Amino acid sequence: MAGLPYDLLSMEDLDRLQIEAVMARAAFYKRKVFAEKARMDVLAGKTVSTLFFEPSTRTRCSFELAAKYLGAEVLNVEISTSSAAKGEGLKDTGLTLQMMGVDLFVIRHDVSGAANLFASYVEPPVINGGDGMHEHPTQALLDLMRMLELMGTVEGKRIAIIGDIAHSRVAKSDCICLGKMGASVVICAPPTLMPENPEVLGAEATYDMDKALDGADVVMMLRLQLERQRAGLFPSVREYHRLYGLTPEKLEKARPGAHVMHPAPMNRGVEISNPAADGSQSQINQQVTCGVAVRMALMDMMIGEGC
Amino acid sequence: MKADILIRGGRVIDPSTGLDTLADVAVHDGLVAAVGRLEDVFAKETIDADGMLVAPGFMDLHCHLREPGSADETIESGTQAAAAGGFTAVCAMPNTTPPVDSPAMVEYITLKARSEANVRVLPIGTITKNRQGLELAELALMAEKGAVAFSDDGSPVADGEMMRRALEYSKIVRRPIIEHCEDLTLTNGGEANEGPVTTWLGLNPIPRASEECMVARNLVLAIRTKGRLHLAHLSTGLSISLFNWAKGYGANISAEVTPHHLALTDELLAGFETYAKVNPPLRGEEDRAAVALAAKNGLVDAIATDHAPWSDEKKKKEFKAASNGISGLETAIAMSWTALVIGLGMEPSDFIARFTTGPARVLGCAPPSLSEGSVADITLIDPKTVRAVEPKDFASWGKNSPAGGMELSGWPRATIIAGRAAMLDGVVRRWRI
Ligand SMILES: [Zn+2]
Repeated sequence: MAGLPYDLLSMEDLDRLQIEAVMARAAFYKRKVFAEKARMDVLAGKTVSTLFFEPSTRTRCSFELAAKYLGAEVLNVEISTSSAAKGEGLKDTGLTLQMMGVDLFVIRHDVSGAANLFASYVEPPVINGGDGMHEHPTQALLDLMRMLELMGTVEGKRIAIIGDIAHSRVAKSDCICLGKMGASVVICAPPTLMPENPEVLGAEATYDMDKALDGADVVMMLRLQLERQRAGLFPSVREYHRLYGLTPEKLEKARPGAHVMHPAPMNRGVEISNPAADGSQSQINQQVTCGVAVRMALMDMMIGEGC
Repeated sequence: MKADILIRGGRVIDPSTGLDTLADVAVHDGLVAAVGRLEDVFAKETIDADGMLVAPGFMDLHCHLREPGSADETIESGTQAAAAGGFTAVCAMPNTTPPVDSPAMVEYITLKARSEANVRVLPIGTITKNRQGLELAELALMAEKGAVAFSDDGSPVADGEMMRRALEYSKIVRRPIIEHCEDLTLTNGGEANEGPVTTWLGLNPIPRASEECMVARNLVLAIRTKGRLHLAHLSTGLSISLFNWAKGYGANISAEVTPHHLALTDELLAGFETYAKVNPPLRGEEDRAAVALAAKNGLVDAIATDHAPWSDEKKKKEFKAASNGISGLETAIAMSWTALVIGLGMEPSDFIARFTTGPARVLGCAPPSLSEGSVADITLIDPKTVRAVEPKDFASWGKNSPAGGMELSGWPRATIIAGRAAMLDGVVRRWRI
């Protein structure tokens, strides 16, 4: 079995063999937990701490359940960044929890690089649960898992990622992960939401949504933070939706039966219309289940008995 | 003859006179006593300079000594760093707490330096009161107390009219207005140079236009007012081109670049390395090469350190929250030598000029010189020895150097001020000017 790196901070940390090993283990756990209703004890006696400096009930619940299904104790800590003294909050909290016997940390933070910094402070392994505009590796792995369930492989498949690429840690981790697995990725955004050098993401870049959709096997829509409008990055929700929102009509430009994905939570009527979000091609609910399975696989492989 | 110090057998290079020859230099009573093949010298101290370059004392136009008001550096520690780094005189930026924005504060720096500094300290006053960009500071009265230039460094003068007034006023104080060119609306909370690195790390980007737009505005104002403008730490190819363009209009302008912008690129930020976080930010290779070329061919007047020491308390934190700045006094000469002389084949005499006649021209003062009878401010450089940068050994309190472990050559070997060694063979000697 391919061992995993000590920390998982970026999709760069995993090579293709390691990603495949995570996928296999995740598929195993998904069957166990969701089909057989089994509960495991591979992490019995271990404590996982989720440390959220940026609130996200959805992601925290996913990590928490993943740990509990494996028999671990879970300690959830939410800290508002406004109350945490910068830097010291991160270090002091980490060292305190470490001394209390935490075996694995999951950290979510609104500042890029916070997960790397946190990992440099604490002894136990760290999983990056999303840091600023940097990375969100577990999201990329769950997206990949759903794609593999649907298509068997992503090799040679065309994946369109559409939305606020410039500020998206999901898009970045997806691009790295899918690139390693041989997919052909196209990213699409208005120029104001496209990063300066999109080529470093290893993807084709376009401002034209029709071009991005053309021949796409998967259409991944990104959440648009509405405060970007106030920052002057797009004129109005109405115009954004017209140009970059996914509707059933737009979806017809993709390959027939193309799968619709979204990291959630969605802004319905902004980046995705209700019919597209709830239609038969939507995989958004299934992504959630894959999230738990992927996080179980990672925790097991990072601190489980067999690791 | 008698000498306090005899520097034996070095290559003596003096850009102020064009001298470049193998010679001995005798120093006595604080002055250069003789230069040439010297026999029968009875010296208290002899420095074997075989294979060394002997140059007039290096000047730094731009450093942050942080005093008063900070625990990150003092005039004492900062000038020990300057001596260790081969500088005989440093210009101290006024963005302290409180800022040096009045004649009394200029006098305070001068007095403090007299009792605690290891090298000459030339105070810079602010352009505006409390560095707020709202009202002119008392430039003429500060000049009377010894301010050599004026700058709100760290913050740009955002208001165009205020900048125009400052440049107008510079004509009667006959000192340069040193401007940190940055349009904060374009920086917009940015953390690093916009490009592949910000995309990869997910950092808020600082577009190059943030510097360039302000460079252009200030150059136009310099052309129109005929005021005296010095541009601090230019970091992009376009900034250099704009500067060169304005010279065509006869503007009374000068510019500096830093060792880190001419030698390093933003790739050092990999892994969120906050020691490489600096403002203006480290740029890509294309800009680095343009800046290095401008330093080599003399398009810019001077190389200045922008020494910005910080404790790890301010540096070792989330990238976004980490302070901007590099502790640079002790690597400036070697970093520049390695990039320019080794890397680009720059003439050693041109190299020395960027640290001697160049800064003197910017300040409008007499250039440091090795001609007989001159004040004996001398910098010795060892052009050969290759050594790795070791920030923990810095005399500066700021160990924040992204160059740790880099193999550089062109290290300063001795710093002599008014005929006394402030540093010899890496050892800083405590003395008072
Ligand atoms: Zn500055």
